[in-house]
Amino acid sequence: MSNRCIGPEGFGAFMDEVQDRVRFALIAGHGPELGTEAAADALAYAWEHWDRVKTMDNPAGYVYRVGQRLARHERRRQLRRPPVFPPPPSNPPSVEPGLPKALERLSERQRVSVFLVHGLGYSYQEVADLLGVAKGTVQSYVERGLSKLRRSMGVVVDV
Amino acid sequence: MSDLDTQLRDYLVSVSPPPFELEEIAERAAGVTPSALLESEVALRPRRRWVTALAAGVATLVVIGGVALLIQRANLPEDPVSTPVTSVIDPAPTTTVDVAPTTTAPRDAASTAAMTWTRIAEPAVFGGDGWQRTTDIAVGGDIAVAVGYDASGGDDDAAVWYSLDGATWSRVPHDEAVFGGAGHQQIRGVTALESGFVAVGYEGDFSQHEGDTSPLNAFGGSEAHAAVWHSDDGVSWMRVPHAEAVFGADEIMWMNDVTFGDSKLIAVGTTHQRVEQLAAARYGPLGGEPNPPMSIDIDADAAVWTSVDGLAWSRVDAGDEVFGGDTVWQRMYAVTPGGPGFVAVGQEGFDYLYVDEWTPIPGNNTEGVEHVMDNVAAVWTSPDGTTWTRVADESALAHSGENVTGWATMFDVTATESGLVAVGRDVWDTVSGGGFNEGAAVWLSDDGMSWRRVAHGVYTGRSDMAAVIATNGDDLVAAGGMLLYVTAGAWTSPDGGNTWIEHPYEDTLFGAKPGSRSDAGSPASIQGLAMFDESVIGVGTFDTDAAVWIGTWTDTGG
Repeated sequence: MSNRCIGPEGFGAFMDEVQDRVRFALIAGHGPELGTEAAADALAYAWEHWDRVKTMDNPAGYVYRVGQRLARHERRRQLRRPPVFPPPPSNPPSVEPGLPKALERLSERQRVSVFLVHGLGYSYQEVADLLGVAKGTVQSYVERGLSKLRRSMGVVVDV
Repeated sequence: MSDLDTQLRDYLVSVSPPPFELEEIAERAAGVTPSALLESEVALRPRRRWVTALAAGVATLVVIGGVALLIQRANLPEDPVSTPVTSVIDPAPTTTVDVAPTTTAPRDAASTAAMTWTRIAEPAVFGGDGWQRTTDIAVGGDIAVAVGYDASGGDDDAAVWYSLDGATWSRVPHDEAVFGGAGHQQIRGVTALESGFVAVGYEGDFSQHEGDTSPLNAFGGSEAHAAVWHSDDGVSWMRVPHAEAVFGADEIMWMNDVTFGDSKLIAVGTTHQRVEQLAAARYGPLGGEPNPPMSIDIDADAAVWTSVDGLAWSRVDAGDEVFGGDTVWQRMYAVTPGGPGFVAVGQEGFDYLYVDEWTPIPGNNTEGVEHVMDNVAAVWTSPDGTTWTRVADESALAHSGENVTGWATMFDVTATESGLVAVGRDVWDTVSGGGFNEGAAVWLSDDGMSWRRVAHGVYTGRSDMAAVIATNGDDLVAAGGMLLYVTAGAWTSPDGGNTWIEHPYEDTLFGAKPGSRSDAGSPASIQGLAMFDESVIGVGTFDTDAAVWIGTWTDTGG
């Protein structure tokens, strides 16, 4: 279904453009359950404040931050329960069983960066814009995250 | 098994619900009202803020400071300054306050007076090779004493200047046994006693941005402990012998300020635990590295010391609930008599550590990642200097950003006729993430217990405020500047801090902002203020030298 039929003018196109990046980033950061809810609420917040959001230089980054804030708020309400990454429901054969637990060992930003850059093919700059950090910082997150993932999953990498 | 990229994509897609439809978002916007949730969060937890982008900015500043420091130290001579010399006023760099920009009508005749600032440019007294900094000033009897440090000897040595009229200054001759020693010695605060002076600071081995006098950027290195100096007359000084139990042994500890009231001295500062070990124990290895390559300060707590004579000191133990807490940093920058007895101000929050780089140990303080959220101004009160209470979180203590990273810090506090005034800095990320909003900040309190924030006005976007004094009743003078970053600035308030006049800026008076890493400009910063006779004396830094400014009231006849 097209997202261009209802809502404030231009919001549908904006949502089409940024939803995947924001949604997957929040899911990567906070887990599928909480991240999805936060992404939906963040987009709803952007809908409510569209007149202001549409003028921003980096509206996707702003929406991501709103979602991040909502997710963290909810995590505090849940007594700071760490994000949970469940086994994949469809059990795709491509995924090693140890991957979900290994993901939980990464920091939030490491997970977001690794997922978006390596899992979804976003550029370092796109992720940096989303997180509001420098491109080099994202590279650092990715390198550290990958290193930790490989160690956690028992992958030995020649240096 | 497929490569990691494919695994990541397949996993993420498999655990994620399908994309949202616009109707779902519309329904949420009309129903759950995320706005209300966000506002509710602000009301409940005003301290929660994002900081990573800010830390990146601060880290950049540290790098710039470090580069500048290295440049400065590349040509250091062998011998420190050792000969007392005397200065005279250079009348050239002078400016006069234009009272026109004030936003409200002055309250009384005294407030209608303009203030003329003059910088005492005397390299023979305040300069030398490398860095010289004045960090604070106190006036006792008929002598003004400015304190700071001098890096001309290859490391920082404590330094003292004095004046009998505020205009002509002399440097106390360097005495290695008193002001020097192994590592760095910096004096960061001074106060006048009924007879004599006490100065406080630290001695230690600091390896990063020593040249930056901004208390915002004072942070621990590998070894440091608190240090105290005492003088009967402001000219002859002695170093109070080090006592490990009081001033620190293994931990990193330093004093930032000292005040005298109710016949006792109160010094405030910060103490750090041994950083890497503690962090690893609490949060797990950093990025999987058991020995992180960078120096990390974590879990700094506020610290208070008391003394009746400046020679024998006791460390106050108020417990983690008051001086510590569940965030990374608690630092006291200034203390004053006032409120219920004494009021100390500073900052709580996150500093240079990317805490979310740490892997929380399951079951062992898993909220570690949450610590990065808080960057708020902090206030403590005490009826007697030994029993302290932390002022509860208030929205007034948070930074001004909404849903963005930010940092609010109180650098100084003073008592007025009508209450207390704290000044500092307010920084918050732009919504786009492309930079920072920043400016001086002012907080007011009737009793020290409850605080309110003065709305941003004419001073936004310039220097921070690092010092404030009450000059007459509710008349105030504030000054500041963050070295290597922004220029110095000065303000006056006629009404207890509710409204402020920012004094006109001039490069030769308040310094020129660096244009780039290779262009050091003439950065300046005023870090301390005191009344001396009918003038205001400001001390700090201009370019690479220590600096003194004189502010005099000029009756406009209003």
